[in-house]
Formats: sequence, structure tokens, C-alpha cells
Amino acid sequence: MPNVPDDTAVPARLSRLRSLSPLWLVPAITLLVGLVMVYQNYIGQGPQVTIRFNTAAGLEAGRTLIKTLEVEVGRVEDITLAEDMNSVLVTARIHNEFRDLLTEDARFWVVQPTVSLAGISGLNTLITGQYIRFAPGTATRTSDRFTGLEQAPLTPPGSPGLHLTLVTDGDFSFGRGEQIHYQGLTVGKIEDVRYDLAGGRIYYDAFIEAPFHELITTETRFWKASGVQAELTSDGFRLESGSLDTLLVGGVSFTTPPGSLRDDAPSVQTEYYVFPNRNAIDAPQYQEALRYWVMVRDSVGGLGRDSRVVYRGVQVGRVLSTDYIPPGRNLLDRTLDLPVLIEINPGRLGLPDNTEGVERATQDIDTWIREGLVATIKAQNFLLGQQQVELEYHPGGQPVEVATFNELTVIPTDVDSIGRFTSSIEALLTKLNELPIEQTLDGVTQLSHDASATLTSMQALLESTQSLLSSDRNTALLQQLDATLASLQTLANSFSAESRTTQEAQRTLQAITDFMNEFRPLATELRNQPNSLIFPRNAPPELQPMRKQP
Amino acid sequence: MKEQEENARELTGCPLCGQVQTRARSRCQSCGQRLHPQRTPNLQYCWSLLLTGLIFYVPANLLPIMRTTQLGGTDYNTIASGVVVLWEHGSYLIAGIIFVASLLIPLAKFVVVSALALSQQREGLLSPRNATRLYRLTEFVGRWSMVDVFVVGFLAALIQMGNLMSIHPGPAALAFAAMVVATMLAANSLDPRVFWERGGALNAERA
Repeated sequence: MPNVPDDTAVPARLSRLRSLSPLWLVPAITLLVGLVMVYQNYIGQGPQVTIRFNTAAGLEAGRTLIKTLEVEVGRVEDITLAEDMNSVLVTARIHNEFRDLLTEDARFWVVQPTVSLAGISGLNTLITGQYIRFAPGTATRTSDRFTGLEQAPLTPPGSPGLHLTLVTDGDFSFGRGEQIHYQGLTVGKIEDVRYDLAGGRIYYDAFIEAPFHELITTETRFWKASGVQAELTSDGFRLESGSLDTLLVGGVSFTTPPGSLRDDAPSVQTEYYVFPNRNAIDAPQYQEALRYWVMVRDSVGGLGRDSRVVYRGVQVGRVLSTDYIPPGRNLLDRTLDLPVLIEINPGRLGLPDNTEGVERATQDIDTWIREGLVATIKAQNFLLGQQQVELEYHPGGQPVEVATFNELTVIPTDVDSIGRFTSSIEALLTKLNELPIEQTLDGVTQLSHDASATLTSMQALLESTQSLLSSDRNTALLQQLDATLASLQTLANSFSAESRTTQEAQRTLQAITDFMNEFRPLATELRNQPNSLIFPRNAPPELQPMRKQP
Repeated sequence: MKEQEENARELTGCPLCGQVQTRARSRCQSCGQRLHPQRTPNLQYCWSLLLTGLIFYVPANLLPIMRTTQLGGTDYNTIASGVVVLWEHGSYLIAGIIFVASLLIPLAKFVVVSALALSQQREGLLSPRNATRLYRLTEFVGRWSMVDVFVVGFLAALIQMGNLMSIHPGPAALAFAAMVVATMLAANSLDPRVFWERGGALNAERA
């Protein structure tokens, strides 16, 4: 028996612990809370989207964020190669509250540091890493497959304005981000450039900001805004320059003819042709043209593409080509007439600019050729040596058969008139020869004779002065002269080599010499090509009529 | 002799003051501490706490334990990804420590504590000596279980430089702490004396 005092012994209440302990509530509650959290997370999980990019540069699964206006709206979960191995598929989870923003036309692009004419952007991604920018669209249907943009769109989606398409087919093009001006204001940008290989044209997606988009009608004309534009006309010399922006980066300008109605508002699909300069938009555009050959016996010098074809001083067409030598012939062939291809626009003749006008013009010109329509090559500008094709109508002669060459009608050449022109040039040269040059030279000789006589008389004057000085009575006078000479000496000293006046004079002379040296190449150039003072060496072609753009 | 043994088994020590007294009492005759009859141990505490710990183990490993903001970019790291990152950076020692302390030991603890609890329910699963060794080991390891939570806590307190670099604890830190507390309580609810009580284990060991 235990020898422990057991006075206060209370019998233990031995109860069997079969019932559940309340502590089981702890794991039960934990599990319940956990399950609820998992369920809520699952329910609240946002939609998964797949975005196709060309490259996954800078993207990282699990880390790269998707942001809208710098607010996180999702996160990249996975990056895999697309089936075609040419692009990557980025799987991203968008937060549930932004589910409705995933419209069909939503746009995704990778924000990375960019330096361009449009400015510098995305510098913060240098530090934080790149992220995907998400721009919700305006469509009503949602989607979960998107194609990422290569570059950030220049215009925030949904900004008020007008998207339109510009077209160029000339020797100039515009870059992404170049500006669109209206009266010097920047009102839009070129957003994208596409090249049409088949058509040889460049298409631009442009955006005009509100409220300027209301200026755009179907009659609006666009032209290339060059920095500086110089022009020499009969009214004088004109120099235009745009704002500093256009000087530096160029761009597109547009104008809308007054009176064109806003009702003609274009749609996005409307294409606008961009003219090479401001004046080109004013030049009338002709759709139809008739082609003729003019056979030139003499020189075609001074004629070129776009040279004028005139009738009674009015331009009715232009020269298309002058350098065609018929197959099988050559320039050494004495009987070869150089064919000059010209085109005549019925529109310029005052006929309707359509097929009806073409028919009428063809008939009339054929009739005229029979009655005596001839083409002559005449000087358009004596100073610059430009020539033009002049159509003249000399009725009353023998009826002429209409000849064709290379399937085109030939307008006969008035050989006599060319001869007349040549002889008039010869007359001019003869007159130049007859100028009294020898008489002038004789006059110069006479002048030198006179000069030597003057010198002789001056010598006599000096001798008489000497005799005057040698007389004794003039000692006082001599002393005075001495003094005068001394002061002259002082004066001369001040002009000596070190004096300021002399140095200045020398500098001036040096400057003149330098100027002459610089002037010499210009003088040489002028001698070789006199018109270079006014026209650039490679003069641009004259404005040419072309088809009206659709 | 046999009677003495019988008597000895009728005696018990007070868990608070150590006073030896008969098992029949419900309270210690000296200090009044409640005495537990140890023959049929109540393992419900242990099991429920262990289950709680196991539930907490899931979010502790799946949720991010640390949110690192560095130069504007934000990173979330779970325990496992932290180990991977450290390993990739060549910090093998630290990666190893965290792997062992945060992943391996909690798992081992679940196994060990359940084994101990089972051995109290069923005789012969573990010898009393081995069971006691394991129990001591569990007690010893328990105090080092919070390494991960401590690391996160220290970093979060120390590194707060705004956008330049700042560290915030993630939800997993809380779950991990809860798991450690639950498993420690579970281990603590085991009475090591029970290992020696069943079926004259004491004598068997002595023999």
C-alpha cells in the first residue's frame, strides 16, 4: 500500500473519452476557411487570354505584368512557342474585374524604351522591366485570343478623331510618327506604313485628331510639307518655309477647298493621294490623254519629259519621251527622224474629260492633220534653252495623209519653220559679230596717247617748281616747307607698317582676297552653266498631269 | 514483488510539483493540479492539431511568403521558389538550410508525431525507448521551425526603402507560422510517460 497520506483523497471521476473533443473544431474551421478561400479564388479568377507576339523579348512568365494606364490588370502566366514556330503565345490571366474590357478590338503591345521622332517613351521599363500594355477597345463582343501589336499605337485607342489612309507613289515617303499639319498646326500623325509591292505604292494609316477631323472631306487634298520651298516665277522669287517642326522632320499638310461640304465626310477606307508639293494640288488633273508621235529631224535638245505641248500659247499636253530610237535604226542613220512621244489631254482642249471627249479629240485632230496641223519645236525660254512642242494650224495647203508610227498617229513636223528658227539664230550671231569691237580698241589706244601727253606736261611743271625752290629769296619758304615735311613725316610714320591704320588696311585687303577666292568657283560655274544661278543643276521635272486618285 | 509492481503502477507523479500519489486521485494532494489518468491517453488533441497543421501546410507552400519590390518591379516568392532562386544564385548553403528547415522538417514532423500518436494507440509499433528518442528529437526541432518566418519578419522590418527595395510578408508567412504552432501544440499534447506505461513496458525495457 502506498504510504502517502490520503486524507483528502477524492475518487477520480473516470469517464471514458469516447465523445469528440471540441478541439476537432480547429481543423474543421481551418479546413472550411481554406476551402472557402480556394472556392472564392477560383470563382474570382479572371479570364485567361492568349496573345500572339512576334517575339517574347523582355517577357517573363509569372513576372511580366499587363497594365492599363499603369494599373495592373493581369499577369503573364506562360510563354510558349506557337505551332508555326514563328511567333510566341503568351498566356495571361486578367483580373476578374477587368473581364469586360477584353473586347475583340482590344490591343496589346509590349512597352519598351523607345526613342523616335514622336518622342521618348517607356524609359521606366529600363528599370522595372518590360510590361504588356493593354488598351481596351470599343467592340461589344469579348474574346480571349489576341494578336499583339509590334509597336505601341501612337494614338490612344478611342481618342476622338478620324482614321484615314494616305497614299504616295512618288520619290518620297513618310515615317511612322510623322506629323500631319493644318495651317501650321499639328493635328495628326502617321501611325503605320504599309508598302504595296504590286502597286508600287506606299499606304499610310493616318489619324487626325478631333476637332480637326471635321475639316476632312472627300475634296481634301494632302501634300508633302517640305521644310523649305523655293520657286521662281514671272512674279519673282518666292521662298516658303514651314515651322521648325516641318523643317526638321517634314510631314504632311492638307487643305480643304472652301465650300466643300462636311456631308462628304470620308470613311476610314477613304484613300487620299499625297501630292509632292503645295502647288501640285492646284494643278488640274486630267484623266484622259491622247498619244501622238512627232518626228523631229533636228535636235531634240531642250525637250524632255513634261515639256509643254502648246497650241496658240495654251498648254494642251506634254512631252512623254524623247529618247526613243526605233528598233533596227540608229542615230548614225542620216534619214532617222527622232520620234518624240507627246500626249494631248482632251480636258485641256476644253472637251469633256472622258471617253466622249477622247473620241471627239481624236476625230478633230485627225481632220486637222489632214488639213495642215503641224508640230514645231520652239524655244520656250531662250535664257534657259528650254524648248516646247508647238502645234500650228496652216490650212490651205495640200491635204496630208495621216501617218502612223508604232500604232500611234504622227503629227507632221514643219521642217521649214525649224529652218527659219535656225536662220534667225544665225542672224543673231552675225549681229554679235558685227559689233564695233575694233573701233573700241582704237579708242583705247587714243586714250593712252593722251595720257602720255599729260605726263609730259606734268614733268615740265615739276621742273619749273624745282627752279622756284632753288632761288635764295625763298629760304624762309624753304624752312616752312621743312616744317611741313617734318609733320608729313610724322603722318607717314603713323602709316608705317606697325601702325593700326596699315594693319586694318591689310586686313581689309586680305578679306577681299579671300572673298575673291571663294567667288572663283561660282564664277566658273556660271561660265559653264549660266542658268545655274537661277535653277538647280538638276532641275526637277515640271508638274505633270496625272490621273485623279480614287 | 508482483504486488509491489502493482502498487507502483497505481502511483503517479504530479505533472506540476512532482508529488507522488495514487493514481486514483483526480487532483494533486499538494498543489491541486489536475491529474491525468494515463492508461487511456486522449489523443484527439494531438490528432486534431496535427490535422490543422497539415491544412495550414498547403497554403504555406502554395502562397507567396514574401513580396519583394525592387526598383518598381514586384516579385512574389513561395518557399519553394525562394529555395530555387537561392540555389540558382549559388547560395547552396542558405538554400539547403531553408529547404531543410521549411520544407523537410515540417513534413518529417508530421510523420513523426503521427507515428508517436499511433504508437500510443497501438502497442508494439515503437519500442518505448525509440518513441522517447523521437519525442525528444521533435521537441528539439520544434524550436527551430520558425526560421522561415523569422527571416521574412526580419527582412520585412529591415528593408523598407520604398520603391528602391522593400520586402513585405506574404500570406504564406502567416499560414506557415500557424502550421508550426499547430504541430508544436500537437507534439506537446503527447504525454511521453504513456510510452512507458503500456503493458509493463517499463519492466520489458529493464529485462
